[in-house]
Amino acid sequence: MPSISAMSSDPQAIFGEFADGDSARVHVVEVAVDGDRLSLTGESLRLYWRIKRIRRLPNRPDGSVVLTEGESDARLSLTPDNATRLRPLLPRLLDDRRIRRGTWVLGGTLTATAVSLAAFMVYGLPLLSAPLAHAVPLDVETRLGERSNQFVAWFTDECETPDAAQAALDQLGDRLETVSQSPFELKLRIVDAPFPNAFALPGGWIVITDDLIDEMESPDELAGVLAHEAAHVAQRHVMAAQLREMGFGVLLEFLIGGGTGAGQELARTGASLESLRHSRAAESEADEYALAYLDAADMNPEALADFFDRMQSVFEEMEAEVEEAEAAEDTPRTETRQERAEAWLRSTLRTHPDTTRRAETARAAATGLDWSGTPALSDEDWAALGAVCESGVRTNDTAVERAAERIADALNRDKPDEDDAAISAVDENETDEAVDAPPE
Amino acid sequence: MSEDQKPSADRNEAEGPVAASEAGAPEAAASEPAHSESTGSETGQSDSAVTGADGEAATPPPAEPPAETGSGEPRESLVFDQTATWGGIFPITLLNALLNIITLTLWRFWGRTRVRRYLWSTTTVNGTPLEYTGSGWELFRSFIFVMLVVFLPIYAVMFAGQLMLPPEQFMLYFGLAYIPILLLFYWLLGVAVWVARRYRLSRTTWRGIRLGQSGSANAYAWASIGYSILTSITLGWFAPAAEMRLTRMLWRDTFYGDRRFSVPQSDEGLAGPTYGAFALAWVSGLLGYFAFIGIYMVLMIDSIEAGSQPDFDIVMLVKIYAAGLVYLVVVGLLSLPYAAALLRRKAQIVSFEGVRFTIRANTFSLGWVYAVNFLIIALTLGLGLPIAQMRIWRYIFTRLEAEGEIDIAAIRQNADKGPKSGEGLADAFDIGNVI
Repeated sequence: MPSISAMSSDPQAIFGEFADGDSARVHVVEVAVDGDRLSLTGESLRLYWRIKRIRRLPNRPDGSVVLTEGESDARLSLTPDNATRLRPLLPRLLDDRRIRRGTWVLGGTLTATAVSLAAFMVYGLPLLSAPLAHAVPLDVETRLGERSNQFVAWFTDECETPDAAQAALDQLGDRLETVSQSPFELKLRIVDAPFPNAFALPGGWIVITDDLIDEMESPDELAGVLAHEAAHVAQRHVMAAQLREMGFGVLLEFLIGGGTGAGQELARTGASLESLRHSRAAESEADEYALAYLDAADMNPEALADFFDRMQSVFEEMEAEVEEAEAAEDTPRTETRQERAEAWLRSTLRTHPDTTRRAETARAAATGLDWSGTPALSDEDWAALGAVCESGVRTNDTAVERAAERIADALNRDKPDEDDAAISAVDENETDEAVDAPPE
Repeated sequence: MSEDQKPSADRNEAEGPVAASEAGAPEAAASEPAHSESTGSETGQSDSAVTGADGEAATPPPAEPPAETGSGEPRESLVFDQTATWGGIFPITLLNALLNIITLTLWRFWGRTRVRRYLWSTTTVNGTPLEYTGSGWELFRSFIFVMLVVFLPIYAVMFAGQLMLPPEQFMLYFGLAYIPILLLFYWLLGVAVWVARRYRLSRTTWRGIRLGQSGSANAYAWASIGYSILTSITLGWFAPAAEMRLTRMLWRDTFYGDRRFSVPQSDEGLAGPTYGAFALAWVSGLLGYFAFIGIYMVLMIDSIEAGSQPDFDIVMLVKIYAAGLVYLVVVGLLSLPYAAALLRRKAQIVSFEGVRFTIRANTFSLGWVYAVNFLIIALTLGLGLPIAQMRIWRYIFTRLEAEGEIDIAAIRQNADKGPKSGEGLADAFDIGNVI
């Protein structure tokens, strides 16, 4: 066996640094191909690696090539010069293109996985959510509803509702319950809140704000709005939305992990836009059902359209802008790109379909329907409802008391922690449907 | 501060023979933990944090007395170097950013692996680079496993609880479950830190020899919960001691090959040198907090006098946020001496085969690294994270010095190959990114 010094005189000799994976010692070895084996010869060692079992590891930053045999801890590293000399002898193993191809294959596979997961979240989940919502046992939804109702009570003050007013409400509720064949008893509540709104909770709860009643000009309009909410209840839209959001949330966490990077935030934003799109579809469906209910209950089918019209005039200007932008989509005008983007964003962000269109659709659908002309409520009943909240608010708690209570809770963690519960209430309410949401 | 001085007898007793051998001959503490542990860790090898936590303090008995037979090679001193450059990390950062976006972040496991591979391979000890042998697939597999086995059941139980419990008593149950859930969460967090460190060490080799970590995730998790409680009871004053004790605990169980790193025998005086700098950070934090509250009150005074709810218009909010930012920057700057002191002290308490370490960290140089890193991350919306990590890594390894000589060639392989998969739990908690 020639000595190292003799070998080094050969200009074609290939040298590498070898660590045997057993002791922390580095040997200088001469590398040569010997049939189907690679021979490593050093001062005090000589060993062979079967070429078939040799695995290439990622290069070092200086371009050095690193080889190992099978899963062993041994390492052979070759500087770029030596690797160049070895390449003709081991062309397949030292072909750099194979590494780059590996990156492309991996990137492609991951992209395909991500895209199919996203497609399932966007198209599959909504298709599944409606049938799944109908499969949820009624008592489960009832419990969920009671819980949501509790959370709403946490945030709002209950209006002092005189017996006469509550009776009037219940009368409307009963009629709608019958015509909608709702699986739940409709439970109507009026709360004190500084904005006109009405929303359905799971399990038949319908919450109306006093400001909404103030906006109404006739009991028929109220009936129209309630019919819309009754449709949400009967079609179990709230349950479907919650199931959809839950599945979406779990899958999203699987996809992006607990991370907070830019990519993650982008995915979350996309997810919330996606959820808005679906709540608008539910609103349109509820409008359709509402008209059918109004017809069946012999209530004014045009009242819903009237109400939409008036809501419309409240933010006419803003709507006009959006319409303009929508018109501009076909005929490019002098509008700047930014204005168009803003308009698009605005129309995308609305939970509810364009109010004008809703009014038109409602009116068109209502023209074919008969109505005896009887108002939804008698004059006395309507007057009684108008007095709701004027006589006073049955405070659940004042804001200050609530804050004090929360602090007490925070200090005394053994007690029920309503702080966190309140937060989840906000989350839940975001998915609840509302008949109108004028941006105030 | 007295907390720091208190010797923690309990842990040293548990330490048993190893503590004794460390006391007797710290340089020759060449027990062979890896071999004695390998059976246990091979069979019960944790794919998950959960099973990994069960391996109760696997303190290896000292093996046969350290062989006097050296390798015959000359003893070497250790010279560290770090040669990472912007030019080297930038292509990796760019590719990761692009692929993270088009794969909806699924690339992150492979991306992180590439960053580590680069940082490891540009770190040399006596001219030979470290090698990172982990793979993206290991990280991915572990994340999926943790999601399915740890988090999905937790979500399911919480959701079922919401549905099943009667509404009137829901709040009561929620309150009762609160503390156990909080404990579970912090326990998992501690386990995640431990498991992730074990994974990274076991995937680090130098001259073909692995690093590794023995000990128990469970013990570490409970220690960190206990120290957190002590820290809050002492209004933060226990924090340096807690940090140093946890550091000691981790390094006590760290190996290179068959050799264990050494740490001081007890917790006594461990954090002493960091307390001066900590006091500065603590006092400035407190004063800054009062100043912030004062400014907030001044901004709000009008509406408070009017007795109404505060009126948070946009201008007001911007002012409040600006005040908050100033507070954070000032406190951040005054915490830098503490950060540097911690780094120096951590290097100081660890030794290996008689070699002692020093990190030449100081307030200004560290502050510069942090400040630029903050800008990099903020301006790239987080996509520049690998560059920031490189700068920290480079800072540590260019300033790391060792004193003493070792017979390196006599060190043998660590028989413990480490966990089969990576830091899924840490990823789920979003702490997997600490390089």
